[in-house]
Amino acid sequence: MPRFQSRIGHQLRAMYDDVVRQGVPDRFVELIRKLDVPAANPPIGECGR
Amino acid sequence: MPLTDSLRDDILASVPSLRAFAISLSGNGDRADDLVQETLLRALANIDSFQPGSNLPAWLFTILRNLFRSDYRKRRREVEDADGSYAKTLKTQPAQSAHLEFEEFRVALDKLPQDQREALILVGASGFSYEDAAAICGCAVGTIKSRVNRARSKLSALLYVDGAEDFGPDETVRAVIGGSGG
Repeated sequence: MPRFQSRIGHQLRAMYDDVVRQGVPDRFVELIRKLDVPAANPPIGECGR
Repeated sequence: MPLTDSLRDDILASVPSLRAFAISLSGNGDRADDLVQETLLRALANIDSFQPGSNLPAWLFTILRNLFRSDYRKRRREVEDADGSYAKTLKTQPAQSAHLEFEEFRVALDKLPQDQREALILVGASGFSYEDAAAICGCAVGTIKSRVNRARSKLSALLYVDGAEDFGPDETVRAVIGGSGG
């Protein structure tokens, strides 16, 4: 089975790295930038309970 | 800890692998990016609970994984569609030859139980140690190891049954293929 295992490992990483190589989409850069003003932003989501 | 510039940069630097993890888990790019967005919002809103010096990627992956799990349970109840919708999302992708191989692999990956799939991705693709993967999934290290092993065996059976002829009717292969049903 080692041959199969290395094939799986290779395919898994190929699939994964294909996405990693796309880098950071603009929407996330914007998101972090917008939320970067401390105190001015109320918490977003449900963390305030 | 407060959100410093360097912490913000580190969070952004984790985005590509968070997306890859989310896509591997969900098999759907749009949904994956929504998951990443929600992960970032949660992380930033709870940044005070992040321990300086601890493993930031592991912390972010834990948030994403928990969001995916609760989201998955919700959707499971809403849409009882085991194979149909996923097959459709695959067909909308460009049919390049490299993608065909990815698709075949993703379809097989999607057939794994969720526990095994996430363990395999964390260890085999994200590059986390068994210890980190165990912390992310909230289980024992031994549990992660056995999930990864079962995931590999099952994928071998799903993907390479035809290819098994190349190696002859090996008893080990047969045993693994036969034993993957349970």
